[in-house]
Amino acid sequence: MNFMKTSSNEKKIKNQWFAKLVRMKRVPFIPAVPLAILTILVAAALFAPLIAPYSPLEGNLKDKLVPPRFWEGGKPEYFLGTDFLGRDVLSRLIYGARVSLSVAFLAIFVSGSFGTILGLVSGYAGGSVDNVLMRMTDVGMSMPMLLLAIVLVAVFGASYANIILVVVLVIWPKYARQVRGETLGVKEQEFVALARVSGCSHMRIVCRHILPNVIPTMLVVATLQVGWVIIMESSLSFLGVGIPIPTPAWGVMVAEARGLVASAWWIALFPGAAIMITVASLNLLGDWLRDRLDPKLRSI
Amino acid sequence: MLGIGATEQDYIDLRAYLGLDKPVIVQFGIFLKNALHGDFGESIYLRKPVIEVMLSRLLATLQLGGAAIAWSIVLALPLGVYAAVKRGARFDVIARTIAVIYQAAPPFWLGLMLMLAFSSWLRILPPAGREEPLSIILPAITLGSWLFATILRLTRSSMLDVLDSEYVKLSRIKGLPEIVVVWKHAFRNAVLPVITFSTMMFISALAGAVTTETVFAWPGIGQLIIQAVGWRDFPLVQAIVIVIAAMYIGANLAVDVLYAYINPRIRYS
Repeated sequence: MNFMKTSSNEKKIKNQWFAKLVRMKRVPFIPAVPLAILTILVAAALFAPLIAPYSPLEGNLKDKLVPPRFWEGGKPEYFLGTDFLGRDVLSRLIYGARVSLSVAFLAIFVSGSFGTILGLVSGYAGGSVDNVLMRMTDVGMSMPMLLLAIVLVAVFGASYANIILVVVLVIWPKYARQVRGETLGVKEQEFVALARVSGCSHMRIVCRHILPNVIPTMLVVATLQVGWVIIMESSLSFLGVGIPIPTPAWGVMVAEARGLVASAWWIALFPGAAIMITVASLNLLGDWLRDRLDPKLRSI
Repeated sequence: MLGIGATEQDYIDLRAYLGLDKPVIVQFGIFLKNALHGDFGESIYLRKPVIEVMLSRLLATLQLGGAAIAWSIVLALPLGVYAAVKRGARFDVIARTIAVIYQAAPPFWLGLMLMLAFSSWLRILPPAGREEPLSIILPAITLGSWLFATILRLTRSSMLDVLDSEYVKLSRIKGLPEIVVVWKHAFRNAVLPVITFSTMMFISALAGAVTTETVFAWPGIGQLIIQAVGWRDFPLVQAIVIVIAAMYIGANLAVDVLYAYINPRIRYS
């Protein structure tokens, strides 16, 4: 009897699960699919050593340039084929997610925090502080970012930490500008004046009253920028001034495949497609977030 | 820069030749004075005046950038308008999907894939270089694809805003033909944000040129800066950075002026 009961319960749970799936139809395509893709990517990056079938750095020279499994001449043990040193493309792709995503998130986090603080100070303090900070952003923004990044890498030298530093140096003005603009607007509102009258310190006004009003904008700008940073990092890596060579970054993988593209297309195709899918998901998510939180940011 | 057998005197001579024996401030002063006279010094690697090296490369980049901007605007504006007019229809969905893909594809990879498809497999276009007239096609497509996607999206969204406005409704009520409403009344206002964006376009064309030129071995200024960084040729890097920053600021100014000219409501006092 007991056994019967559990099975009917199980059936019920199954049905609920099924009902949920059916209802999924109503979840709009746009936050759902990009979010799912990004979740898979983040999971792949976090658990890379567990998922990846081979080492990303050690190749088997006997099995070099093996096409993907589903292509003519492919071997079942290498799902996406191998590169010119016999390294498994899939494993390198999974480890590459670590590099691309961690650079992008760290860089966005640091430059977002830095830019937000400077933007708040600039907008709230006004006067000469504002002037000095905004002229600094002018300098930063008077160059195409990729070129500035290339020159900075030439000065600092290419390494993982320096790439993050360079990206931060290149993009913080964008945040500072945006936050300053928002702060100028919020500062004039009545609740700030009331907080002032009731004796709040400047610090408290900025942190408790202005900052929460600026955060949605920051979230939108940050999400829209993550994809852009991934493209920038992979471009730098592709050009040979980014992540140094044996590290499996997506841009490095495409660069390595350059000379072989006519004979071994799979080495170039998959890492590039990975960048494209990641960036497209982030952009779609960013657009969706912007339409929800702050539609007036359309022009960014 | 000196070989293994260099003597102490050679070092001293070279330092004096490059002006490195003077204090940094003085070095900067000399550089500034020369730069204002249009003299950016001599390339360490090529042993030629920097200006000479740069000018020939700049021409190639402007040619490529011009081609990329031209095709992307010519295609994206009408497609963006049409997508807005047909909002939600199949055409709109397809146009938006293409825009999302083009915006996300890294240019260096897109270039390689185009090269693979059109030069290795179909064998109809030259893969790289600048010798044949047809060789501009693939780099121009690569460089312009991001612009195309961005202009298309921008045109579409600004067109949607304008089509929703009162005066467009009025002109429809007046019984004007749809083509006049869309192109004469709505489009003129919708195109303004696109023009503001054109500075951004210019920059992205220059910056994107670095990767595109590297992929297609296009002898432009983007390829040059990568080479100069590799050669540790600092006078050359410096000069390229200054020239590009100047072009960028100039483009900004030009857009501001153009904007006031197109939109009479804006006047700079």
